[in-house]
Amino acid sequence: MQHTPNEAGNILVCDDDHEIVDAIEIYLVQEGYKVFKAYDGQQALDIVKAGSVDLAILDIMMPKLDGIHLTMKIREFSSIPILFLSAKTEDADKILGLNAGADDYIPKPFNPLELVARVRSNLRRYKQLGNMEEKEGGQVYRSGGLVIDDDAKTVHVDGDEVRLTPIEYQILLFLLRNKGKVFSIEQIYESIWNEEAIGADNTVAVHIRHIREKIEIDPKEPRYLKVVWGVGYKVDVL
Amino acid sequence: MNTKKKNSIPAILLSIIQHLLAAGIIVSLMMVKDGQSVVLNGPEERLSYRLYESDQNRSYEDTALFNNILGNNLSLAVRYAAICSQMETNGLYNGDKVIDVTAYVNRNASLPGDYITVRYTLSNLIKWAQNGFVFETMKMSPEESGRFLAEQPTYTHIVNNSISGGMNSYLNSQIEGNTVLHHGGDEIGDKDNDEQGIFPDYRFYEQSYDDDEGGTQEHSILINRYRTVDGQVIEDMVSSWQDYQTLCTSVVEAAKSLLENYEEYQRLTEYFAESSTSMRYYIARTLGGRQEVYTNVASLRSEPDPENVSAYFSALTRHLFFCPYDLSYETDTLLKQETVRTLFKQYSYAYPDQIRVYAGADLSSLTQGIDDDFHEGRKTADAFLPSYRSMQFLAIVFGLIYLLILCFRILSNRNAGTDVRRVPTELLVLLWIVPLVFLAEGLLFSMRLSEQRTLFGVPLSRLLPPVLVFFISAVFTAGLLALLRKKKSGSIGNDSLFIKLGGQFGEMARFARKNVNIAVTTIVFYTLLVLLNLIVTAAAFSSYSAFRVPVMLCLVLADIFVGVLLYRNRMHRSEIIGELTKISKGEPAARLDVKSYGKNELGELAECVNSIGEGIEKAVKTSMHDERLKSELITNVSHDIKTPLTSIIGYVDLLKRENIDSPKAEEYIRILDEKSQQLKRLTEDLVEASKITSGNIEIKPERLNVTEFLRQTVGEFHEKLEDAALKAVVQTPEEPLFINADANHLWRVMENLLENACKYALSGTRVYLQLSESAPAEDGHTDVVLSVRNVSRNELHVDAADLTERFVRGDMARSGEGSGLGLSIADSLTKAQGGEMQIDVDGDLFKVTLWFPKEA
Repeated sequence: MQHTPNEAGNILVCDDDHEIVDAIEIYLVQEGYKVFKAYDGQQALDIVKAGSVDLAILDIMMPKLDGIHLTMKIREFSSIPILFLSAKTEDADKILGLNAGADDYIPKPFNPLELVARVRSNLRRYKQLGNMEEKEGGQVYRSGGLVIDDDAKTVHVDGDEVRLTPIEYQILLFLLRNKGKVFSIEQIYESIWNEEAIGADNTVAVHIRHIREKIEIDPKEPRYLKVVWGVGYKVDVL
Repeated sequence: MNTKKKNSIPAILLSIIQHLLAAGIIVSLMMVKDGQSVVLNGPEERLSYRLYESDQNRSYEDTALFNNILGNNLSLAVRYAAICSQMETNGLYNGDKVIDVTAYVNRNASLPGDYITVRYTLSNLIKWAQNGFVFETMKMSPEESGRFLAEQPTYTHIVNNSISGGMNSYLNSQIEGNTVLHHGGDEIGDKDNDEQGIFPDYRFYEQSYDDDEGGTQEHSILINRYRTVDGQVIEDMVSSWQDYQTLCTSVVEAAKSLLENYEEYQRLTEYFAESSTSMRYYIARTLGGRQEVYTNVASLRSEPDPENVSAYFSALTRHLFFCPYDLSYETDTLLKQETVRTLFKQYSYAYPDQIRVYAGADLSSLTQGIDDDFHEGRKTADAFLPSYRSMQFLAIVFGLIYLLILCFRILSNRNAGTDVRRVPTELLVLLWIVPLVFLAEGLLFSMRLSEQRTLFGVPLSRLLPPVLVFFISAVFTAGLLALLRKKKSGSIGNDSLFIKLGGQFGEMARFARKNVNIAVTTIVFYTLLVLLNLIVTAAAFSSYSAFRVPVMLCLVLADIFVGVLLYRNRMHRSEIIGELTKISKGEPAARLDVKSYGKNELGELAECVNSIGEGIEKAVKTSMHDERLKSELITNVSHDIKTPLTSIIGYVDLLKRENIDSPKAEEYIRILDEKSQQLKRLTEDLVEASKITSGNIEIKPERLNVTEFLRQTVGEFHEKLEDAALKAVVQTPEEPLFINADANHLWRVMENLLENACKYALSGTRVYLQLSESAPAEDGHTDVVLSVRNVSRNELHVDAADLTERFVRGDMARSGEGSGLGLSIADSLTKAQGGEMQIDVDGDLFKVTLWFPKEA
């Protein structure tokens, strides 16, 4: 993990379970972030109001002020990325959280590495929002944090470069250039291999999976390269 | 046991033989009956004879048939000879024979000493009769009458009019020189009978009308076609109109009678010709000492010696001799003297006592080739008599075999008639008896049909009976066997309508005994209503009561009331049934309006139905509530588990990052890591499973290309399968298949199935994913079939059906990493999308099959 300290930021971690907060702190500190700890909603709100917080990780069910209301209050004065951390994994809970103004939703129990990846991704996206423009132009295609510079033949996800095989690169480029549109396995095959797909096997599907393993934090719930079952694949417009 | 093959060919053949035997019985019986009557040609008509069983062992000449034929012939010969005596002289026809008209007409009676008559030659009389008699009506004054008639009548007097020796007046008149003519004044003998005539029958010609003027009268005059042998006419013989008319009547009568006899004479002459009959007769009569012979044996006609005649007849096959004068009768036939005497008595006008009669039949070779009744009778007798008994015997044998077959069929009729099980017994009996009655009627009718009605030349009266008997036998046997089968099946009583009806009444009676109130109210009210109707209707028609109209009105109202009650009752019942149907289908019950039912059985019933419906609804609600509670409990518990689990996973991960020298500690950490991960999955699966069961998931079915879906699925799992050293083999049809499913849930199903394969399949084997289309079902729809097959790593000790039960896994020891919920979730999700899932275990082959209705 090659990260310069200036890239790091101040992270607020709030959960009524002290051990969880401590564990997250250990991981984030290892990554070079500065961590503020809070154990209830009110504490967290006070810390955020203090002003130096770059990203907040909030449990939903907390004493004094629950995560949803806390987020709404934070959103009144700040646009920092907020990540929900919750054992409530039903879709309805996720939607509620995201609607309240959260940027991401991490179900408990979480994979510590995934948590760190999401923190980094969100923080970077938030910080880079201002200086994205300079990279625009030429043969650059993007969707959210996914950027392909076709001149340099490079792929970046939230600023991190991802190494793809030529075929993977071409597939992702094809889908990104036509982002929002769904392509079937045959269409992808024919446009990449330039030959008719006769009895197309699952080559394309396997490549897609590989691409997802590389560019997604959680390949099971992809953010960029999505499966449309029975139809094909697409890159969402973000 | 031939229960199953009751229609086998031998059985059918046997039954046909049986019925043919029945037909055979009737045929042989009819032949016996037919043989008993023989119809032979006679001269005038066909005569019917009877054959007797007792004739069977006799020679033809001794049979009753032969003797009857002989008797008939003799009777005819006697008549013929009598006619011959009128027509012939010395064996030849003699037209010049003189006929005394009055004597002829009165040949059966006696004549007075003097009588008025006319004499014509035989031929003249016959010709006159042939040409007809012409009468003329004339008006005559007494003077003219006197001129027309003779002054004096001419009388005939029979000199010797004795009745001795069987002679009568007619015979006496035929004796030559025995008659004398004389005129009115000088009559001889009695005068008592004078004038008055002897024939009272003059009605025909009494057409004389008295005319007022001068006594002029009308008279019917017979035109004389011929003159008498004396050259005179009728009116010359009489002096009064009365005698005239009497005489005319006699002339007409005699002429007509002679004409008839003449015609018969010709026929019989032919019939009795010596060359055309075997009959021989010889009748000699003596009149006035002169012998006349009548015979059809030419050689005997002028044979003077009686011995020779006797010898001739004695030589015949059979003969008889009869002489009333000597009271002698001898014969070797069965004809009795009395019979013969009676024959001759009929013709006493022709035969005096002085006759000698020989008769016989010559059946010797001399008459061979003659086709007369004797020979015909012999042929019949020869043909029939020997077979007479055998026909009877045959009928008996047929009958015995018939009974034998019938018994056999009854005994082998073992199967307990499933074919007649449902048929009411009474109907079966009717179906049996009615055709039999009709057929029997037809049989009797057909036997009475006339001989003339034929089919293919066979009289219907001979043709139809065997056919009908065949069918009678068939119907009889079939019905009998059906009834016996029914009896054997024990349903003869159960299927009886009468017994059923009786049973119904019995049930009603038993019910009434236990529920007196219901019985009494129902029956009493019904009876009262009927009685009321009857009485009032009767009263309305009979009396003129002033109350008639109001009473009738009340009755009509009462009837309407009862009708409404019945309708309401029916309506309520159908409401209750509808309600019960709903409840039984599990639909939410609507409440019945108990108040509208009133306080009766239906009201009670409605209340019961309501409470049942409420109970069931409550039970369903409770069960749904319980299920939701359970699901919530699981969710909450798992939520509570997840928080500490988060710490565990986090710190185990941190532990892993620490530099630990002890390999044991590292191993312990690895186990902790693994188990905490398993616990994580378990809680996730548990929540999901409970959500699916409690119906807390949303299904959004869409048209889905399964072929493409399967390809994507395998792509997604490529790496995992490779890690488990498995190779996926996908088999799909050329054309893409579509189903209606929620792709995300279906993906979850496939994910579970393939993860299952990754966990439990034997490394280095192949996992087969096959997509196909099922054969069309009866209603025409086809299924898309998706199967996943793999070879299990461990032996499978579990029943395939148990694998979808929650927490069951192939290895009962529950070692390994799965939660045991994968297949259960897959099964629930498949069903929730309208599909079917089935697990088959065949040795180590593990196969999961999914069915979804195919979308076009």
